[in-house]
Amino acid sequence: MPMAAPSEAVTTASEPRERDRTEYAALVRDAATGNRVAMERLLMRAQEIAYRFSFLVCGHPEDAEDVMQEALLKTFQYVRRIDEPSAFRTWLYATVRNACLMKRRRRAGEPAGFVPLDGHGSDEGASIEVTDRRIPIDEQMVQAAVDARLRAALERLPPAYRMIVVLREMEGLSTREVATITGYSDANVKQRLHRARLMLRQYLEDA
Amino acid sequence: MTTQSLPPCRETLQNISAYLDGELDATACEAIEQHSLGCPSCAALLDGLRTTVGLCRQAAHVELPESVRQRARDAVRRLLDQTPSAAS
Repeated sequence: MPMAAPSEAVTTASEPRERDRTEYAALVRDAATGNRVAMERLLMRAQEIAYRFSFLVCGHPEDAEDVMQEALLKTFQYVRRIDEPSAFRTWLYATVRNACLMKRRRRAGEPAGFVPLDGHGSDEGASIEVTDRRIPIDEQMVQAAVDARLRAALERLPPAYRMIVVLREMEGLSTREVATITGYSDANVKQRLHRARLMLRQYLEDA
Repeated sequence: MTTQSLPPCRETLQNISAYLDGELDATACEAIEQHSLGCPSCAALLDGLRTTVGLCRQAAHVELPESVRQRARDAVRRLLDQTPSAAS
Protein backbone atom coordinates (compact mmCIF):
# COMPACT_ATOMS: atom_id res chain seq x y z
CA MET A 1 0.00 0.00 0.00
CA PRO A 2 1.63 3.26 -1.08
CA MET A 3 2.22 5.62 1.80
CA ALA A 4 1.44 9.26 1.50
CA ALA A 5 3.15 12.25 2.98
CA PRO A 6 0.16 13.89 4.62
CA SER A 7 0.23 17.60 4.12
CA GLU A 8 0.49 18.49 7.79
CA ALA A 9 1.61 15.30 9.48
CA VAL A 10 4.44 15.44 12.00
CA THR A 11 6.91 13.25 10.16
CA THR A 12 9.76 15.64 9.56
CA ALA A 13 12.08 14.10 12.14
CA SER A 14 12.41 10.77 10.33
CA GLU A 15 15.48 11.67 8.26
CA PRO A 16 17.74 12.77 11.12
CA ARG A 17 16.53 9.74 13.07
CA GLU A 18 17.60 7.43 10.27
CA ARG A 19 20.96 9.23 10.20
CA ASP A 20 21.27 8.59 13.95
CA ARG A 21 20.76 4.89 13.37
CA THR A 22 23.43 4.73 10.67
CA GLU A 23 25.82 6.80 12.73
CA TYR A 24 25.45 4.53 15.76
CA ALA A 25 26.12 1.45 13.65
CA ALA A 26 29.31 3.05 12.26
CA LEU A 27 30.46 4.04 15.74
CA VAL A 28 29.86 0.51 17.03
CA ARG A 29 31.85 -1.01 14.15
CA ASP A 30 34.76 1.41 14.66
CA ALA A 31 34.74 1.02 18.45
CA ALA A 32 34.74 -2.76 18.12
CA THR A 33 37.95 -2.61 16.07
CA GLY A 34 39.74 -0.65 18.80
CA ASN A 35 39.24 2.92 17.61
CA ARG A 36 39.52 4.88 20.85
CA VAL A 37 37.80 8.03 19.57
CA ALA A 38 34.81 6.00 18.39
CA MET A 39 34.72 4.12 21.68
CA GLU A 40 34.78 7.37 23.66
CA ARG A 41 31.95 8.83 21.59
CA LEU A 42 29.89 5.68 21.90
CA LEU A 43 30.36 5.48 25.66
CA MET A 44 29.42 9.15 26.05
CA ARG A 45 26.28 8.60 23.98
CA ALA A 46 25.39 5.55 26.05
CA GLN A 47 25.58 7.70 29.17
CA GLU A 48 23.57 10.51 27.57
CA ILE A 49 20.81 8.06 26.73
CA ALA A 50 20.91 6.67 30.26
CA TYR A 51 20.64 10.18 31.70
CA ARG A 52 17.71 11.20 29.51
CA PHE A 53 15.86 7.97 30.17
CA SER A 54 16.35 8.23 33.94
CA PHE A 55 15.33 11.86 33.89
CA LEU A 56 12.28 11.62 31.67
CA VAL A 57 10.96 8.10 32.23
CA CYS A 58 11.98 7.06 35.72
CA GLY A 59 11.47 10.46 37.30
CA HIS A 60 14.30 10.01 39.76
CA PRO A 61 17.13 12.30 38.59
CA GLU A 62 19.21 11.24 41.59
CA ASP A 63 19.40 7.71 40.12
CA ALA A 64 20.65 8.95 36.78
CA GLU A 65 24.37 8.70 37.44
CA ASP A 66 24.11 5.10 38.69
CA VAL A 67 22.19 4.19 35.56
CA MET A 68 24.80 6.01 33.47
CA GLN A 69 27.56 3.98 35.11
CA GLU A 70 25.71 0.77 34.32
CA ALA A 71 25.26 1.86 30.69
CA LEU A 72 28.95 2.73 30.46
CA LEU A 73 30.21 -0.61 31.74
CA LYS A 74 27.69 -2.76 29.88
CA THR A 75 28.33 -0.93 26.60
CA PHE A 76 32.07 -1.30 27.03
CA GLN A 77 31.72 -5.05 27.68
CA TYR A 78 29.20 -5.58 24.90
CA VAL A 79 30.55 -3.54 22.04
CA ARG A 80 33.31 -5.93 20.99
CA ARG A 81 30.96 -8.90 21.00
CA ILE A 82 28.19 -7.38 18.94
CA ASP A 83 27.29 -9.19 15.71
CA GLU A 84 24.72 -6.72 14.50
CA PRO A 85 25.75 -3.06 14.91
CA SER A 86 22.34 -1.88 13.72
CA ALA A 87 20.76 -3.56 16.75
CA PHE A 88 23.00 -1.68 19.18
CA ARG A 89 20.58 1.11 20.03
CA THR A 90 17.78 -1.33 20.84
CA TRP A 91 20.13 -3.28 23.10
CA LEU A 92 21.28 -0.07 24.79
CA TYR A 93 17.78 1.20 25.56
CA ALA A 94 16.76 -2.22 26.86
CA THR A 95 19.85 -2.20 29.09
CA VAL A 96 19.08 1.28 30.39
CA ARG A 97 15.45 0.38 30.98
CA ASN A 98 16.50 -2.67 32.98
CA ALA A 99 19.01 -0.62 34.98
CA CYS A 100 16.26 1.86 35.88
CA LEU A 101 14.01 -1.02 36.81
CA MET A 102 16.64 -2.53 39.08
CA LYS A 103 17.13 0.83 40.77
CA ARG A 104 13.41 0.97 41.43
CA ARG A 105 13.42 -2.50 42.93
CA ARG A 106 16.37 -1.75 45.17
CA ARG A 107 14.96 1.55 46.33
CA ALA A 108 13.83 1.39 49.90
CA GLY A 109 10.56 3.09 50.71
CA GLU A 110 9.20 3.12 47.17
CA PRO A 111 6.45 5.75 47.04
CA ALA A 112 3.03 4.19 47.40
CA GLY A 113 1.21 3.83 44.11
CA PHE A 114 4.35 3.83 41.99
CA VAL A 115 3.75 1.69 38.95
CA PRO A 116 6.82 -0.29 37.89
CA LEU A 117 8.15 0.09 34.36
CA ASP A 118 7.66 -3.58 33.65
CA GLY A 119 4.00 -3.51 34.62
CA HIS A 120 2.68 -4.68 31.28
CA GLY A 121 -0.87 -4.62 32.48
CA SER A 122 -0.61 -1.49 34.55
CA ASP A 123 -2.43 1.17 32.60
CA GLU A 124 -3.85 3.01 35.57
CA GLY A 125 -2.58 6.52 36.04
CA ALA A 126 0.07 7.06 38.68
CA SER A 127 2.16 10.14 38.89
CA ILE A 128 5.82 9.78 39.69
CA GLU A 129 7.01 11.23 42.91
CA VAL A 130 10.49 12.65 42.87
CA THR A 131 11.67 11.90 46.37
CA ASP A 132 14.63 14.26 46.44
CA ARG A 133 14.21 17.64 44.81
CA ARG A 134 17.52 18.98 46.14
CA ILE A 135 19.20 18.69 42.79
CA PRO A 136 22.13 20.78 41.53
CA ILE A 137 21.41 24.04 39.78
CA ASP A 138 22.70 22.87 36.40
CA GLU A 139 20.34 19.92 36.50
CA GLN A 140 17.52 22.27 37.37
CA MET A 141 18.40 24.19 34.22
CA VAL A 142 18.04 20.99 32.20
CA GLN A 143 14.65 20.45 33.74
CA ALA A 144 13.69 23.98 32.76
CA ALA A 145 14.76 23.25 29.20
CA VAL A 146 12.08 20.61 28.92
CA ASP A 147 8.87 22.52 28.77
CA ALA A 148 7.48 22.57 32.30
CA ARG A 149 3.96 21.87 31.11
CA LEU A 150 5.15 18.92 29.05
CA ARG A 151 7.08 17.50 31.98
CA ALA A 152 4.08 17.81 34.24
CA ALA A 153 1.92 16.14 31.59
CA LEU A 154 4.46 13.34 31.09
CA GLU A 155 4.56 12.68 34.83
CA ARG A 156 0.81 12.17 34.84
CA LEU A 157 1.04 9.41 32.24
CA PRO A 158 1.08 5.79 33.41
CA PRO A 159 4.80 4.84 33.42
CA ALA A 160 4.49 2.24 30.68
CA TYR A 161 2.89 4.88 28.42
CA ARG A 162 5.44 7.49 29.38
CA MET A 163 8.24 5.11 28.37
CA ILE A 164 6.68 4.63 24.93
CA VAL A 165 6.26 8.38 24.39
CA VAL A 166 9.87 9.03 25.37
CA LEU A 167 11.27 6.22 23.22
CA ARG A 168 9.14 7.01 20.15
CA GLU A 169 8.74 10.78 20.20
CA MET A 170 11.82 11.96 22.00
CA GLU A 171 14.45 9.32 21.33
CA GLY A 172 13.20 8.71 17.80
CA LEU A 173 13.05 4.93 17.90
CA SER A 174 10.83 3.02 15.47
CA THR A 175 7.72 1.12 16.55
CA ARG A 176 9.62 -2.15 16.00
CA GLU A 177 12.53 -1.00 18.16
CA VAL A 178 10.20 0.08 20.96
CA ALA A 179 8.40 -3.26 20.73
CA THR A 180 11.72 -5.09 21.09
CA ILE A 181 12.75 -2.99 24.10
CA THR A 182 9.43 -3.17 25.94
CA GLY A 183 8.30 -6.67 24.99
CA TYR A 184 4.99 -5.38 23.61
CA SER A 185 3.73 -6.23 20.14
CA ASP A 186 4.03 -3.59 17.38
CA ALA A 187 0.25 -3.14 17.47
CA ASN A 188 0.33 -2.66 21.22
CA VAL A 189 3.08 -0.04 20.96
CA LYS A 190 1.04 1.88 18.38
CA GLN A 191 -2.12 1.62 20.44
CA ARG A 192 -0.39 2.80 23.61
CA LEU A 193 1.33 5.63 21.79
CA HIS A 194 -2.01 6.77 20.40
CA ARG A 195 -3.64 6.68 23.83
CA ALA A 196 -0.65 8.40 25.40
CA ARG A 197 -0.83 11.21 22.84
CA LEU A 198 -4.51 11.71 23.57
CA MET A 199 -3.83 11.80 27.32
CA LEU A 200 -0.89 14.16 26.91
CA ARG A 201 -2.95 16.53 24.78
CA GLN A 202 -5.65 16.54 27.44
CA TYR A 203 -3.15 17.12 30.26
CA LEU A 204 -1.50 19.95 28.33
CA GLU A 205 -4.87 21.57 27.80
CA ASP A 206 -5.73 21.16 31.50
CA ALA A 207 -2.51 22.97 32.35
CA MET B 1 -20.83 16.87 10.89
CA THR B 2 -19.94 14.04 8.48
CA THR B 3 -21.18 13.00 5.07
CA GLN B 4 -21.57 9.48 3.79
CA SER B 5 -18.34 9.61 1.77
CA LEU B 6 -16.23 10.84 4.69
CA PRO B 7 -15.07 8.85 7.69
CA PRO B 8 -17.08 9.35 10.84
CA CYS B 9 -15.38 10.97 13.84
CA ARG B 10 -14.65 7.60 15.43
CA GLU B 11 -12.77 6.37 12.37
CA THR B 12 -10.82 9.60 12.22
CA LEU B 13 -9.89 9.25 15.88
CA GLN B 14 -8.70 5.68 15.32
CA ASN B 15 -6.48 6.66 12.41
CA ILE B 16 -5.23 10.00 13.59
CA SER B 17 -1.92 8.78 15.06
CA ALA B 18 -1.18 6.73 11.96
CA TYR B 19 -1.94 9.86 9.94
CA LEU B 20 0.46 11.96 12.00
CA ASP B 21 3.13 9.28 11.64
CA GLY B 22 2.73 9.18 7.86
CA GLU B 23 1.59 5.57 7.89
CA LEU B 24 -1.63 6.00 5.91
CA ASP B 25 -2.07 5.84 2.16
CA ALA B 26 -3.03 8.92 0.18
CA THR B 27 -6.75 8.07 0.12
CA ALA B 28 -6.94 7.62 3.89
CA CYS B 29 -4.98 10.84 4.45
CA GLU B 30 -7.29 12.77 2.20
CA ALA B 31 -10.33 11.34 3.96
CA ILE B 32 -9.05 12.58 7.32
CA GLU B 33 -8.15 15.98 5.92
CA GLN B 34 -11.54 16.36 4.24
CA HIS B 35 -13.36 15.22 7.35
CA SER B 36 -11.44 17.67 9.52
CA LEU B 37 -12.35 20.53 7.21
CA GLY B 38 -16.01 19.97 8.02
CA CYS B 39 -15.68 18.81 11.63
CA PRO B 40 -14.39 21.41 14.12
CA SER B 41 -13.94 18.89 16.94
CA CYS B 42 -11.78 16.53 14.84
CA ALA B 43 -9.88 19.53 13.45
CA ALA B 44 -9.17 20.70 17.01
CA LEU B 45 -8.10 17.20 18.03
CA LEU B 46 -5.79 16.90 15.04
CA ASP B 47 -4.29 20.29 15.75
CA GLY B 48 -3.86 19.50 19.45
CA LEU B 49 -2.17 16.19 18.74
CA ARG B 50 0.12 17.75 16.19
CA THR B 51 1.15 20.36 18.75
CA THR B 52 1.63 17.69 21.42
CA VAL B 53 3.85 15.54 19.22
CA GLY B 54 5.79 18.61 18.11
CA LEU B 55 6.36 19.64 21.71
CA CYS B 56 7.66 16.17 22.58
CA ARG B 57 10.06 16.22 19.65
CA GLN B 58 11.34 19.67 20.55
CA ALA B 59 12.05 18.43 24.07
CA ALA B 60 14.08 15.55 22.69
CA HIS B 61 17.33 17.47 22.93
CA VAL B 62 17.99 17.23 26.64
CA GLU B 63 21.71 17.86 27.07
CA LEU B 64 23.75 16.54 29.96
CA PRO B 65 24.44 19.24 32.55
CA GLU B 66 28.09 20.30 32.24
CA SER B 67 29.08 18.87 35.63
CA VAL B 68 27.48 15.51 34.76
CA ARG B 69 29.08 15.56 31.30
CA GLN B 70 32.50 16.13 32.84
CA ARG B 71 32.06 13.22 35.27
CA ALA B 72 30.84 11.03 32.40
CA ARG B 73 33.88 11.95 30.30
CA ASP B 74 36.23 11.25 33.21
CA ALA B 75 34.59 7.86 33.76
CA VAL B 76 35.03 6.96 30.09
CA ARG B 77 38.71 7.94 30.09
CA ARG B 78 39.41 6.09 33.33
CA LEU B 79 37.79 2.97 31.92
CA LEU B 80 39.71 3.14 28.64
CA ASP B 81 43.01 3.94 30.37
CA GLN B 82 42.59 0.92 32.66
CA THR B 83 42.14 -1.37 29.65
CA PRO B 84 44.84 -0.44 27.14
CA SER B 85 43.70 -3.06 24.62
CA ALA B 86 40.53 -1.03 24.13
CA ALA B 87 42.49 2.10 23.47
CA SER B 88 44.72 1.15 20.57
